[in-house]
Amino acid sequence: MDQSKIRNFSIIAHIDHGKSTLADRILEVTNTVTSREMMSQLLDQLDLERERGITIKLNAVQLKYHAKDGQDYILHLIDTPGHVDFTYEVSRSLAACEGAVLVVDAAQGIEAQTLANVYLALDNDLEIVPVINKIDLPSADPERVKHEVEHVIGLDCSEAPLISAKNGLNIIDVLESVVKNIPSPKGNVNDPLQALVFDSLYDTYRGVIVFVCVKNGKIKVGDKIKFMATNAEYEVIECGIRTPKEIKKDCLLTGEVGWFAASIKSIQDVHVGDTVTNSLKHAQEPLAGYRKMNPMVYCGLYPTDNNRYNDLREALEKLQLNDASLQFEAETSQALGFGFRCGFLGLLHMDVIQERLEREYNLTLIATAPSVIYHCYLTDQTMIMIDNPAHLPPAQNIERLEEPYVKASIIVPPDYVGAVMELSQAKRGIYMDMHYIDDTRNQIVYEIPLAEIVYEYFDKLKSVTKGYASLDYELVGYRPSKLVKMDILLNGESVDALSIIVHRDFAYKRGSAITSKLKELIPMQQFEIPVQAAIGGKVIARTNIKSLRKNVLAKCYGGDISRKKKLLEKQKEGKKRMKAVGSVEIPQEAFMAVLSMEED
Amino acid sequence: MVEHLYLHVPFCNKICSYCDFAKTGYQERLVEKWLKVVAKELEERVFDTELATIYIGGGTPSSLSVQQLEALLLLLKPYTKKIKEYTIEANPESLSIDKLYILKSYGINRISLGVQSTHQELLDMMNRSHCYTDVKEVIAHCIQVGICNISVDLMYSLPNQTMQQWEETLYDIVQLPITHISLYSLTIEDNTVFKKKQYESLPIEMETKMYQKAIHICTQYGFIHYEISNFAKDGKESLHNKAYWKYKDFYGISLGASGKIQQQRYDNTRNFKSYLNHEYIQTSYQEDEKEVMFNMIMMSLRMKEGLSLSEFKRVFQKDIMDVYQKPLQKLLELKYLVIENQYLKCQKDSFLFLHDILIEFLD
Repeated sequence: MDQSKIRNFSIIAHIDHGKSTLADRILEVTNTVTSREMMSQLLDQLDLERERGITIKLNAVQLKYHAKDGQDYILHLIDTPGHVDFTYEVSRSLAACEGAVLVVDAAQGIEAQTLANVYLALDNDLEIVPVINKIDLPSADPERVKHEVEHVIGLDCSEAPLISAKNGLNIIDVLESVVKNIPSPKGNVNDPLQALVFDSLYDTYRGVIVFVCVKNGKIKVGDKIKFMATNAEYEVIECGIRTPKEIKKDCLLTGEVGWFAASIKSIQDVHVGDTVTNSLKHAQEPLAGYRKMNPMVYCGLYPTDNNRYNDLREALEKLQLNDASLQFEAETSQALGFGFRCGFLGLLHMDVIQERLEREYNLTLIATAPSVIYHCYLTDQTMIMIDNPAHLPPAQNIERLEEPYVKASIIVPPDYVGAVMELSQAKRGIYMDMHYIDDTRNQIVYEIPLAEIVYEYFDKLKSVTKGYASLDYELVGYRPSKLVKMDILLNGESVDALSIIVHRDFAYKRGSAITSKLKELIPMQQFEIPVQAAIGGKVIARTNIKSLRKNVLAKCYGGDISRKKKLLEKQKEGKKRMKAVGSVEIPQEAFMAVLSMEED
Repeated sequence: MVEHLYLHVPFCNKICSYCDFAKTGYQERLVEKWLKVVAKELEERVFDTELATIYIGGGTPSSLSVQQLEALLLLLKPYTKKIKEYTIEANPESLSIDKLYILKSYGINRISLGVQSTHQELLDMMNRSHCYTDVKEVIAHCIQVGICNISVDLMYSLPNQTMQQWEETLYDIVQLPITHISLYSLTIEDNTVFKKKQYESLPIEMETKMYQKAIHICTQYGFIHYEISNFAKDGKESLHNKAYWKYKDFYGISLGASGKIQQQRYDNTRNFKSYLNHEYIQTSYQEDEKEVMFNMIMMSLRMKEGLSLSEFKRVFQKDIMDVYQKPLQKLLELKYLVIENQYLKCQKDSFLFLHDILIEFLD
């Protein structure tokens, strides 16, 4: 194979700009899949991805393309997620590429994640090929959007393909542009092997399947290979590519993107971002890898059934293999027993992981409210990091608390600028900057505590802008804040899993909101149970749990038996996701209620 | 042997806003046809003639004419040889004195009156036709003909109902010469006028307060709180309803009625056309032992006296403590349930969360 005829590229875009649809069309026009096999959003493999219409995991396929210059090319296409939570996945796929196709919606134009992904691509020295999609929409204005891309990003759009991925219009132009503008991989097939591990998954029969991009040298079946970070050595049993069907090959050469299996049973040996080399012909240096993302949001995950703690650990280990941004360590809660404190890139990521654990590993979990990491400076000048509010030391030992701030970039039509600023201020945001992208959109930049973003900023932003705003954010550092720990007491006893850290000025409001929400959610008990919010032992809000479940008092005669039984079964379903804390049973929603900001 | 029978009269002069029972507007000719089918259904399906209780419910049984009522009572006569409690439901405005004489002559010894409220605006909202004066008058008539066992249905948690209105209704009712009070906490069912108008019952806190107020006032006036939603003067507990709560077998006759015979539960059709074609049963369902056990517990714990442990053992040949060891241990320990004199029953305030207690018994 001629290395100069290989092109490795990703497709990047703001969410819903049509990246996965374009990937599908590319597979079609290159006959990589027949239209019979074609299933909408082919690269979205997780059930969850198809259901939610989002891409969570990256996927790599090999395509053959006969270009207009008469030459045959091998293209490796790496599909990437669009949601801000999954920037990490994007950065992984970009590290395996030489170029990126930037998809911009011809009606919506540049959005916050368009910019974020472009900057990520530029950081990776990628050649960017702009493509204007959805030109079939009545509201499409490709000329305006081209101008926007040139003006805001500074990419030449004079030759940008104008396409409709949905209708399969001008897809060939995209491939021609890829072949023409994206450079071939640089490495040397005769050098020692250096292959970047960009993903992996666990197969019950074959062990860990490792996805690699071969930067130098080659991987052959029978080769002894070594993971440079862990020094683990294995013999390659199988290797190949995906089209997206798995195709076995004898070897993977420089520039190729594919997979190998080596009977790897120990999950810990494989780290995404590590370099694979040949044990006999050893590379001097590992590859640079790429930007490692640190979790931004933490929460506790506990099995409702304590006996399934080990199953949860195993499930987390397997998911981590496929999702290096997931972090976890064991923790114990007085209220919830044994579980794990898990770190996620964002709320969607957390949601997705919880759902995958429950679906793919058949677990029933209680998740505690998400928290960011606080820096806690003690009076003895040491600093500890707090990812679980329950672990905050007593107030007298704390000199100051710092919380993470993000730079949030919001792109929004001018009509909503006022609403966005109002919201951002209410969420303790600090105004940084604003500029005009064009007559229809402004970019507003705020610095906002990450905790506010985690709580409900994004949802509120969508609602105050009727869905027009797009958001991207990145961590900018830690700032001191007037933060306090608020404990929630049930029946006079503090429940560690319900503690949160709040800004002092908002504590009273939050306390009342939380206690009244809990009152709704926690089912009745024998005796009236007080629900209290307290700061440092001082109660700031209180309610009592109601002592009745709906319909208990309804009549019940001969004809009502079936109906009653059905109702009880339904109420029992709701009760499954509960955890008994003392004699009080707390439902899953209660742990999330501490995020509740609704004013009663 | 089945000792109890419920017969549903699916006719009303007016449709109440909360009602989702099988019913239709009163039409003379339809009633005649219906009576013929009921005769047939009784003949084909009721084999035990020594019934202890019969309950004629509805709908509005008192919407039938004197002649139709007599025809119906005549159909039931063969089953009343050993009858102890023979109840008919009635609306105050349609229970005339001549109808009462007929009822009395066929052995009816209990009247259940749909009073619901003594407040005119609430009665209007529910689309009821009577007023409080009608209620007092009809009760006097009942006693005049010699039917002194009188039960009154009251509703609470009605849309916009105030605590004061509820209290007044309760005081109005407990002072009347009646023997029994049934409370109905409004549940807004699908296919009701309330549902269509998007009315809502009151918040759960208010519902609870009204319930507690009712307990307070009824017991103060000598009514014993013998079931979650029922009160009776001493010795006047409803035998028929207690049969449901003890999970005894009962026949269900006519449109929309439900019955239970041994482990078979059935629901009659609610479709008039099918019924007139003698297609009585819409669904029937065979219960396994576990379901029978659960349902018996579910129903029995509604009663103050609770579940008889010896009866449980007699029916199932098993000790309840063995079958439900885990939930019972927990519930007894928490004192949600108690065992007294071989009866398993709710502790003082446990009625308020009986659902959660029952959920423990489901696996």
